[in-house]
Amino acid sequence: MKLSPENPLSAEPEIDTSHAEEFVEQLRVTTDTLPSRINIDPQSVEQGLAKLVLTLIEFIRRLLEKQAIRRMEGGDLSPEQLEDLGLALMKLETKLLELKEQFGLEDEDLNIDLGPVGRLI
Amino acid sequence: MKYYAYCVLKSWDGTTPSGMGIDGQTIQTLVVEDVVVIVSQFDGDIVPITRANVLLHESVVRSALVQTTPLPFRFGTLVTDAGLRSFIHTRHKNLLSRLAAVQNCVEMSVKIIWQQLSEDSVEPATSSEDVGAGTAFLRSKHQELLGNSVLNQQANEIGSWLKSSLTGLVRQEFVQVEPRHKIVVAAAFLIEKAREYDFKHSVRELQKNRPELHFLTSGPWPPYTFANIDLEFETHFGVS
Repeated sequence: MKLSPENPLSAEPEIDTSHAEEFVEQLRVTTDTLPSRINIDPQSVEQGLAKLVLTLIEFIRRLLEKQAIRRMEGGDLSPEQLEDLGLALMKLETKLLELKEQFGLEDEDLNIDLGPVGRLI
Repeated sequence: MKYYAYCVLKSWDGTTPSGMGIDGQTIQTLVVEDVVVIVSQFDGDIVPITRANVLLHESVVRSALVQTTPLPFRFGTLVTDAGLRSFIHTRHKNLLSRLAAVQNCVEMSVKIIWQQLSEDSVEPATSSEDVGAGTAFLRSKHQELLGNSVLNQQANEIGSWLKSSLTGLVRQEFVQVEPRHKIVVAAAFLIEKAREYDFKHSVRELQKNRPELHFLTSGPWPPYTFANIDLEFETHFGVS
């Protein structure tokens, strides 16, 4: 048997859906976000590094936020402490938004794919 | 001169493969130890990522699927003759084990779109208290977290339902759940070639049970998802 696209047994795979347009739209969104790898070349190295650093900061910011919410739920913060903590986290979020804008990064850019483990955030 | 590597096979019937490979090169089979590698020659260091090249790669791997179940290399894998032989030698045991795992199988893909079920599952926070901006910020984050938690739960339930409903038909599966995406489940199933009809029929039945979910089933594919990552070389794409 010869390797040939004309070989009847190597037919195209079938696609079965009643919502083709919806899937095409969503898969285009996914394709537009690719590639997720960091290219180390002189042009992109700055943005690549910024992406890496901001990803770590975003990860830590979210951890702090969750910890603060846990403490709020636990009721072990006074109203003043709650307000101060909330303001600090709000400012941190605003600052991160500014940095993301500066480097032309979107939220999804900071969500690194860790392969079998899933996404970072 | 390097080889562009398409896939690894357990055996081949000895005929010369026909058809065109990447860059218009002839497809060749190399017997290395007791496995067969399908390659074509390539002059250069980078394979352009074009629609035509991707389709050529897929076409060659698919042709191999006619005879047996191949372990596909990632698109763009370039290697020297010595590098390929060294790779086969050092990973021989793992290769044979992966080839045995996918033998007589194909990959089927199932994707599910949902309508963000939790949008109205969490009541918005109401408060008559006059609070500061910091406190209001933390409270809104709390609500967001509750919403995410419900979303995760609903998404995982769909993933588990799909997985458990198809258990008897599949040899291996890889189910990815993304609660924040519209395509909430992207799953790959390794099934025996003979069970393709049963698999498709079962997925159609599942769709009838959950009309609010939108399905896309595709395949059969070569087992791209189930080719072990150890099969990859370091390529121009970066560290694998």
